[in-house]
Amino acid sequence: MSRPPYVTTGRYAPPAARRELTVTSADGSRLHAEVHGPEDAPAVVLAHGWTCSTAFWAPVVRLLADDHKVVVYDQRGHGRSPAAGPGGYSTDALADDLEAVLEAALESGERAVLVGHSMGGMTAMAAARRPGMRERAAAVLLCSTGAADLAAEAMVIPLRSPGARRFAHRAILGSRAPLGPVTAPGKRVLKYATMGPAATPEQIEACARIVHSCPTGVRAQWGKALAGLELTGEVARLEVPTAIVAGTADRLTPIVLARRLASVLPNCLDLTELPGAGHMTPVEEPDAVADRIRALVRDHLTAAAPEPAALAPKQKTKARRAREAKEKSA
Amino acid sequence: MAEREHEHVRVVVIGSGFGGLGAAVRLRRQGITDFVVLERAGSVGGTWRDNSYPGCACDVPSHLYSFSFAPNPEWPRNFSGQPHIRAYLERVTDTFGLRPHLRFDAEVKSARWNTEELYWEIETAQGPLTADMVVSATGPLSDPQIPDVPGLDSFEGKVFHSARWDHDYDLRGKRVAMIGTGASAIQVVPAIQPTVDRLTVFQRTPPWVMPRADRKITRAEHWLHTKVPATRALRRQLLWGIRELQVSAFTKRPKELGLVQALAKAHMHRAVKDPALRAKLTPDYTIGCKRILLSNSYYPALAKPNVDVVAAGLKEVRGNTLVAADGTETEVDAIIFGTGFHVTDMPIASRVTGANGTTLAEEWKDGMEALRGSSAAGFPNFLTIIGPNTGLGNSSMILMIESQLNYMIDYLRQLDLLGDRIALDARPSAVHAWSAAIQQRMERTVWSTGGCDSWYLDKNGRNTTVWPGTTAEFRKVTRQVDLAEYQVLRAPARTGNESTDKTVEAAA
Repeated sequence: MSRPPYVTTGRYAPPAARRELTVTSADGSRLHAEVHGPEDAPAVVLAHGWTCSTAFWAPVVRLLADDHKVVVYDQRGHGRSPAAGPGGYSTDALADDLEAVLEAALESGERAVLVGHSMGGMTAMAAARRPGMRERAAAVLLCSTGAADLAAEAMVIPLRSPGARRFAHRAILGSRAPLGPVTAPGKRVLKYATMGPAATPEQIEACARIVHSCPTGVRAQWGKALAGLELTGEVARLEVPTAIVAGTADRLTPIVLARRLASVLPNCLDLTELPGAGHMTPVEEPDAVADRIRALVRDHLTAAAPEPAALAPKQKTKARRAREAKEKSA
Repeated sequence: MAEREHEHVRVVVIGSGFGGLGAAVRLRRQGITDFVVLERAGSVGGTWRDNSYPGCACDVPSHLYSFSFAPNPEWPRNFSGQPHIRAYLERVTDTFGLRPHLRFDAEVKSARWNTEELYWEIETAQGPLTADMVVSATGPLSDPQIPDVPGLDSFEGKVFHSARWDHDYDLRGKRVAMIGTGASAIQVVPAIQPTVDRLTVFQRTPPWVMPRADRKITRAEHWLHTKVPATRALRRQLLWGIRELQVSAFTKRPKELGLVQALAKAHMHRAVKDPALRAKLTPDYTIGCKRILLSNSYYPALAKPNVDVVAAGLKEVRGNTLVAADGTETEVDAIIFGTGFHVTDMPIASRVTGANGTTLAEEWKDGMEALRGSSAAGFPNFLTIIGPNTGLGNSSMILMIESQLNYMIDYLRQLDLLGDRIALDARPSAVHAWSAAIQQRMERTVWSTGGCDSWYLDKNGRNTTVWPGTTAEFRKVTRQVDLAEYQVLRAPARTGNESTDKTVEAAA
């Protein structure tokens, strides 16, 4: 019982926060947030995914905290954020919480690169039209996530019929079955469902500790919300420069979902496909994720004098036309 | 820009056959009422309106050859005739309230994609209009094909195509030539044989003809199907299931068709006793390579004394004499062409101009290809119903049409999600990958290996018409639009700052 819900040694162990704060969201929900790294450094905000917690970001925080102000927070019901009441599990709530965290953890006028993994990515999508997001986010990185059709596209239960897959995955997402203590068979299941073949025992242990500690009720409530997810319209309105990272061996949010995001995003910078990586990209490939974040900070936060917003759409159109022409001729 | 000078609708549907009417029903059911159906003729029915030749019937059982959402418990026969199918479509039009959407005598002259405004500009015989989306349901069997036969102009008798039958012309006592032995011809021949003086059938390639289990559907069955709808549904499921099981023989194991071929041969031998005629009527290719025809009356009609079969195509017309490729000369009063349709070169394709300024016909000059049978690259928000590689050799096209309509509805749903002034254009890479996968599967099919030339193949010998799988598989791959296969096109912003002023001006 005394085992903490995360590993305590090595690069996957959560580092101590410089400052902790409690954020109050629009509906009064309280959220646990942490700030790592120097306060005056460029800011990065990390939003974790379903059944995870701030501890999930440990390896990425360790790579960035020397020269970045890294903000992490527990999504409602996860980690140290208390569960919400009835009706508190929706993509709107995710967006509310993100806006609240941005407001509380950043200085007035301070902008940040926003990174979301899985449900954390959906958080960024859900907030696309929120003023807090538009003012604060200099760029977005979406890791291993999708906007819609998760239950039908997931390949955890590798049925051939999408209808049957949707049924099976909905059942899994909404299941209240307890995961129990972290055991070897449990870890094998977790690795199969969420990680690539190259995942190390340390990575699996780190993820298992985090996932197994998520309360079953919270897991089921969020799972249900994810099963019916439809954020395509929000993605189409996410005007912030956005990059995508995804693993090619992801069964939970298969790479096709990332390709759809790349199609739909109005200002998609690129899609980095990590060969052999599963769903847990920030843990499986922390260096790749951290490097992409660094580049986004460099290109869109520190270098950029305020974004010449007027010019952006036109350049984008031009770039797209050029791309079309190229594809056409290919 | 808000008040447009022309009429604008969300969707334009071209054609009012099974495809167009089905699209209209599905749109209305989805709550989309802002659409019109453009029809070049004066009534609905498409292929089933145009083909009114004597004996015209469908060779798929009616309980399967009908919309799933518009069941008809009272089909008169297993294989209902054209008048009943046409009447069914008229009834569907009324039942689902489609009349207000129909524009008759509104042939589409041209459709052009406006890359600035992201809509289609359509010129019709009734004037112009614009639409966010075009659903082209013009059908593969809509424009008759008459071969370019030297001397045909000089022929003094009557000439028409089976799909444009001249009912005012009396065939009684006439010497008639039937050119072709395809699906239409084999229905025409037994229907006119008793009344004409002489009938000469010009046959380039003999078809395989199977018996047709046609009969009247009894009143007891009508009663049962009306009172217990589940029995009608079960009947449909059975008809469907049998045909699904046949597919793999066509697509993967043509050798399994040997038994079917033996049945077809026995069917012919029963009716035709003359060895010379038998020899002429026996195909030299595997059954299924060309469309398998169903008829109980074709062979008996050919065996009648007033019918001649010329085992050669029509080469030339000299006055009233028809010269076959084998030199046979026949003097006739009338020529009926049963020579098929422009299938791999759909005429609508030359009237549609896409985002790159080229027509669909130009893009398809080396062969038709479209993503999931629907979307051609460079033609945003343009779906073809019964597009490339959606045809069937053995089952009901209505199943394929309904799958494509699922795709259409999801396309519109995604467009709605994405926002205003947005269009989807199939990525060329996705279209090519789709069509390459199909062509690869095509290699082992009977249509490629059976040793025949057919209307399934285009001029380069590629099969761009038939779906090489089951209808269930097609339904699965068209249930949803995969946005990764499309580019999202956004119109340049209209309001606001200087940088966009120019584009607004250009568009105005």
